[in-house]
Parts: sequence; C-alpha cells; structure tokens
Amino acid sequence: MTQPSYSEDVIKLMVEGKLSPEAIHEIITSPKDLDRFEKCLSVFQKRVSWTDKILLRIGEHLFIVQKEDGSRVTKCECGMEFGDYRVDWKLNALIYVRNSAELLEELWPWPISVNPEWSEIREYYCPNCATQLWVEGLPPGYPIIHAFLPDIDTFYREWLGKPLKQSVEFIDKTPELLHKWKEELDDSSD
Amino acid sequence: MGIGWGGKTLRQMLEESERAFRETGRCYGIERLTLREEDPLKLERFQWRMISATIGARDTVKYACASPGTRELGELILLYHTPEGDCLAASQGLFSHIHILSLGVKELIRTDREATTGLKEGDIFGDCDPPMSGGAHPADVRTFTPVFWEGEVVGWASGIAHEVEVGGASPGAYPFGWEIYQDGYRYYMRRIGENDLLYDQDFLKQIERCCRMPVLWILDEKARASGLILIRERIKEIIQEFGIDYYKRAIREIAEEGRRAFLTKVRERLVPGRIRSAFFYPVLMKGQGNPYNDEDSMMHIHAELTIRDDGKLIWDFDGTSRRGWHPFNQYGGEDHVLVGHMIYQLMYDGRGNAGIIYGMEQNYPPGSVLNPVYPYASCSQCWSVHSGAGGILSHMISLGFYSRGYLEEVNTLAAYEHWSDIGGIGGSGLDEAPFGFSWFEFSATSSGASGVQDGVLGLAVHIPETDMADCEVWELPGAQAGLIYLGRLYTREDQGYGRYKGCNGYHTLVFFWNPPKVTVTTEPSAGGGRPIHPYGLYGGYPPPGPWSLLLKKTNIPELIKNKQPVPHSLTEVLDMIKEGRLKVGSIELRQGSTNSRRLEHGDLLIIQRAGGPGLGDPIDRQPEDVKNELAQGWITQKRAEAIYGVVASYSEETAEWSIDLKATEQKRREIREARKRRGIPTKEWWKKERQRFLHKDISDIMVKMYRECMAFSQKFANELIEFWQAPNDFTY
Repeated sequence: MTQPSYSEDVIKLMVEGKLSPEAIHEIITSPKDLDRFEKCLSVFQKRVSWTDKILLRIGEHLFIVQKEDGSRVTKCECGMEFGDYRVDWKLNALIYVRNSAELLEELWPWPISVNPEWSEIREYYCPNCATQLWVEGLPPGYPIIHAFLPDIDTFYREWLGKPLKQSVEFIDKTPELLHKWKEELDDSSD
Repeated sequence: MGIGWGGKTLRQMLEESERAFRETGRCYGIERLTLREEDPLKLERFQWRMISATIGARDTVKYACASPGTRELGELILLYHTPEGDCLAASQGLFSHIHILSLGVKELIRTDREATTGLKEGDIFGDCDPPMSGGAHPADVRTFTPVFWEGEVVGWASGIAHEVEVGGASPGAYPFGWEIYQDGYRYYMRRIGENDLLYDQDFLKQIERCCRMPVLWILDEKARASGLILIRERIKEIIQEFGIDYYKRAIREIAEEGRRAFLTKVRERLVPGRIRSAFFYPVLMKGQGNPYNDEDSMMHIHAELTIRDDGKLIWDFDGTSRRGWHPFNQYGGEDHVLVGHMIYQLMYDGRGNAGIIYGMEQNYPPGSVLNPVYPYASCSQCWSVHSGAGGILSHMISLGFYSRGYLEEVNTLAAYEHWSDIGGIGGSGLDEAPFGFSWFEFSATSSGASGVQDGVLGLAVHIPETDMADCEVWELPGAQAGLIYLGRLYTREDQGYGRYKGCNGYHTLVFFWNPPKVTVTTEPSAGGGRPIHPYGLYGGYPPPGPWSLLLKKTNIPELIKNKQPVPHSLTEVLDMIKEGRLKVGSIELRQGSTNSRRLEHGDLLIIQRAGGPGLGDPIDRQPEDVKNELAQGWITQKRAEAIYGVVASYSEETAEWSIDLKATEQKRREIREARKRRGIPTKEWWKKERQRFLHKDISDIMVKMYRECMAFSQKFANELIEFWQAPNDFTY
C-alpha cells in the first residue's frame, strides 16, 4: 500500500469540519499521509489575514508564528499577539473563573454539576476577539498549567529535516513573567 | 546447567538482556534487523503466526468461562513472551495488561524455580499479588507456563483475566479497604498445576473456599490454563516449520523492531517538547469505618511528558501524592495504562509488544501512590485512578497529534475506561448462598471530541472488540441481589461542550426488589465524584466527573403494585420527585468510592459515568449539530442558547426543532461581548488569587493536598512557589 497524500482542498475541508464521516473514516483507517503538516500549514497560512509565517498551530485559532525580526510569538487568528511563545500565553489572556455552585450550574445542572470546593472552571478568552481559547478545570489554588511547550527547532531540524534559519533557546520563560509581576506588586506596595 | 539457552539459567538470560538494553539502548543489543532485511515476508509470516496463536487460543477458551466479565466483556488476554519475559505477541482483549504479564514472567524468573523446585514443561504458575509481582490489583489474576524446545525454555505463554469477585472485605473485584489484607485472595508466583493439569486439592479447592462465587474464578482459570497450552503447542508447530535458529533470532528482532517502530511513530505523528497535565481523585474516607484514615483528602497525580528528539517518551510523575491508607495505591505506576494508551493511540497495528515499554522511561517517585514500595498497601481500587489518569495521558498525546495536523487522531478521554461504578454487589443471597460480583454492565466510555468530530459512545479503549451492552446476562447474577434494570440512557447535559462536543455521559437505573443480605460498594471510575476532569481542548469544556445517587426506600414497589409508571431515567426521577409521584426516604449523592451499604427493598441506584471532553469554542459549533442535540434530548434549549449561542424553538405541531440563524449570529456576538465584560486580565486574577493561596483561603481539602504534596515533592513545591511567587521557604 503506498503512502497516501491528500490535497490541500481535502485538508481545508477537514479543518473546516466539512468532511463527511465516510471520508474521515477513510483517512483514519489509511496509513498516515506524511506530508500532512506542510499541507496544514499552507491551509492555515491562507486562512489568516496577516503575513507572519506560521510555525505551528497550537489551538483552533492559535498559532506560533515567526515575526520579521526572527522572534516567535503566540498569535490569535484575529491578530492578537500574546508575546514570546515560550511564555504561557494564558498569562496574557482574559480569564473568567467559575468557582461557585451558581456559576458552575450555568454549565451543568445538579446532580451532574461540579463541587466548587474541589474544582473551578477557568475560561481563557482572546482579549481582542473574545474567542474562548482554552478551558481548565482545576482545584482552587492550583497553578495555571502550561500545557504545551513545543521544541520548535528540534522539530524542524531533526523531524522535518528543514532547520529554521534562526533558532531560539528551548526554555520555559513563564517564570520570568511571573517574577516581573511580583516585582510590580512589590514596587506598588513600596 | 540451566534450562536457558546454551546452558544458561533463565535468570542469567534475563540479567543479560537487561544489561544489553542499559548499555546499548536497544532490545537485546540488536543492531541490524537482518531477518527483516533478508526476507521481510518470511518474518511477517512468522510474527503473524505467533499473534494468530494467541488470538485463536483466547477466542476459543473465552467461551469456557462462566463470568460475563470474561465472556461478554472479554476481559481476558493471552500472550507469548521471549524466555526473558518480553512480550512478543498478544491476543485481542485486555491489552492494557500486556506489561503486567511481562512483569509477571520476569518476577517468576527471579524466583529462580529452576534452582529450587525445578521447572518443566506442563508446569502452571499463578499470581495475584500485585505489590510483589507488578500487577495492578488482586482481581487481575495471571497464569504462566514455560515453553520448552529440546530441553531449553524458548518462551512463555501467559494469560490474565479480571476476576469479578476476589474474596475481599466487600463483594466484587474492588473491595473497599485500606491495607492489602482487605483486597482479596492473593497468592504470589505459586505453582498451581503440573503436567498440564491444575491441582485440584491444592489449588481449585482453595479457590472454592476463598471467594464468594468461585465458579467464575475456577472456570476462568481453566480457560487461561487451556489457552496457554494451546499457545504452547502452536509455538512448537511454528518452530518446527521455521527452525529453531530462525526462531531464536526472530524473537529478538521482533522486540527491537517494536521499539524502533514506536519511536518512528512518535516522530511521525507528534511534536517534540514538554507537555504537562494533572489529575485529581477524591479519597473520601471520613465516616467509612477506616480505622487508619478517617479524613477526606484529594489525591494529586502530577504528569509531565518530555518528547525527546529521538522519539523517546520520558514520563515524570514527581509531584504525585504519597501512598495512603486507602484502596487506590498503584503498584507499577501508570505503566499499565501507558502501554495500553500507546497501543490505542500509536501502535494499533495489532503487533503491540515489548517494544513500546522500551520506547519510554517513567519516573514514579518511591513512596508515592504510584510507587508505594511498602508491600502491604491496598490497591484493590487502583483502576479508578488509573482510568482517569489514563485519560490525561490521551489528552497529552493528543496535543501532539493536533499540532502535527493529524486532527482525526486527537481523542481526549475523560477515562481510559469506565465500568459500572459498582465496585461490587453481593452478600448472602437466596438460601444464604454467598455471592458477589463487580457489575461491568456497561464498561465503555463516552469519548471526547476529536479534531474532526464529536465524541462517541461505547468506546472501550481497554478492550476494543468487547460486547458491552448485554444487560440480560448481568441480571443473572444480579437476580440474587434482587437487581432489576429500569433503564440506561444518555445523561442530558453531562458533556464537555465545544465546537466538537464530548459524547454525553450516560447513566443506569437499577432497582432492588427484596434484596436478601446484600450490600453495594461504589467505586466511581475515572476521577470519581465531582472534581472536574482538568481537560477539554482548545476552548472546549471538560466533562463533570462520575457519581452515583442512592435513593433509599422509594415507593417504586407501590407504583408497580398500582400499575403506575416507574422512572426510567435521571430526568424522570427528578421530575417525578418534583411532582410528588416518586417518594424517597433519603437521597445520597456518592461522590467518591464508598464502603458497603446495605440495600433494601425499594432502593433505587443511579450510576452516572462521565461524558467526554469537548474541543474548540462552543460558539464555533455548527448550529445544525446543536439542533440535533436538542432533538436527541442531549441538551436543553436554555443551555443551547447560553453555551452554544444557538437560538432554537420547538414546534409542537411538527415535533421538530428549528434554528433561527440570524438570532444565533446575534446571540454569539452578545456572548463575545459578555466575555469581554466579565473576563479580566490574567495578571489581575493572579494578584488576587495569590493572596488567597498564600493565606490559605481555600477549602480545607485543598489546603491538605497542597501541604502533603509540597512536603513530599520538592519539584511540586518549587512549582507552586514559582507560580505564586511565594517566599522560597513557603509551606502549608
């Protein structure tokens, strides 16, 4: 059996949710098309209104892009930028927390609903387009989970065989932003 | 002179294989896959002949079983291993237990039978002592037999089946307890037969004395042992056909090829980097008669995955809670679900073998609930936690699929598997005959959304080809408890909402008519109770967790007597209570595992399994799909509008829903505006929450969790201190 390859039109239909269940089943049960990543990038690049190069998709409307100056930022489809991709973008979003029985029962009625002493729902919105980009269900007091920190340079260099021109250090920069917030708190209390 | 190859002992062979892997990073130190290079089709034939031997054996002996868990559910798997215990071939069935069986063979080799009591063809060994031998809980009963060729051990056949009653402190497969002595009958690497016959007096008669429904275990054991003999004889035919030299080389290469295939799949389908998640399980011991632990607490499973440049998966569970006096301790960490999930998500070509475990590294902190070390901790309900923790593993891998573009492979799960959430029903039945069983009446999951479609019902990751829905067979043992099904239905609005939604959870209603001395233990799988699962994806919601409702002494007997309608769903129960038609003595919402409760005439039990997580912003969902949900009764009009932003109306005349697309567009704009109004910058939230955290202004159960985990794990303490920018010496 030869390795399949799907056209960009098919990938576009998949991304848009317009593929039939039969077509999806065919794709699921076939060997993987090894050029999917490149085709997806091309589809996404054509969908967005901005020109920054998409490096990786990390959400329905969220991408890691390369700016002209070589920096890499997390960017919403609407154009909102969340800063260095190595900082958890959720720290630069809007958050809404459901932490009472009343707010949680807006989602699920009793007895299905959730015990607010054990869990709260944190909704993260894009500050520009208000798309709900992520939802966490975590105990009160639990840190925001930085769910995915991709090693983009290793990915492109070792796995795709297409090294990026400039590389950046693979490091979680979220603590730097948190430290900065703490310093602002200290400064404001002085 | 050993019975291994070339006069070595089996222990020597095992130690050599482990050293070879340590030193070279390759299974058996194999560098070139020469047989694959020289004649790939011959190797293919060889490998599939072995796999067929296991499949044929298992599918034959399954029907010798009396237990519906084994026969209908198919919770049985038979394997074939190298002489060192690595899995080469597995039948269908309970494939998450591939690794448990490999660990068992290795432990058996380490007991050094060939030096002490001897080891010969026809010997049958059994084990159900997880702290000693790598199992999960005593209900996972394992059987082993060596395969000889010309005086040498050339492999092992093994099998495992999940016994539904194990003679524990409470009936069923999941006794409620706090130390190993309540977990059920156990034996450790015991010879249970020879010359292809199980010992009657010294084994089968003991089973008759040790558990409440011995016929189930005995027939399962006979089925396992028979299956192993079938495999052994097929292997001999294979060796006869291919030659022993080819066989010996091939089994080595198959293991190494499996490892390479696993790494290749990872590099082909995922993205390297770091992935984090967490899982929480309520340990509700207060008032449950546990003399060592009369408190409620929250268990924390902390998971970090590094996907390395070579494709190896490095799992780190540092930050996880300490082991405790409860039934949720897990020997062997998450290896069982890790292997199961890797087969399910990556290695699903039917060849799942040892290569998978060699493509991963795992850190389970000693003394944690994932690596108790202490060999007497209760583990009877470990699968409750495994199941939900397994869900987060699927979520973590799915992040890679999604970013790589393989949207169809994304599959978030609330649970690796569900079962009935009845840990056990049993007691003293008709004519005071003891009985007991775990009620696997619908052990399937509502899956979460993928990147291309909604979640589906009836996904059984742990046994893909099972026959799950057979109510009638479960009413047979249930008759002794006076158990009567009243219904099984989707639970309205129990789902992770999203552009693609998780499948609704579902519930079962059972009613008890004059139960004799019967108790029920509930054991919510997959998180239990009402902590939320942490994960929807990309704006989709997580689903609420599972629970059960015990309605004591209802008037259902009178309703039946008076030929009045009885409820068949949760919605009907709640409506009938509101209308005064259904009268209830008391209602108990059971949010976590609970010890045995006596059942009485008229009791009604509603068992709810979690729905699946959603994916994507709910207001991106196609309105037509929401219309279908309304038509199916999966969501109310109120929440369709509030959450999905879909404005719909129902026509009594046509009995149909219709969507107002213009109003829907407007509603969705309003939802976005509302989000902007109520959302605050995360920085502002962080500032306020930081104060709450530092001053312990959160629930006692959470304070306890943070205190314990910070004291037990420096890594987690650092994480909390770093996130909340607390002083370095901050503790709870």
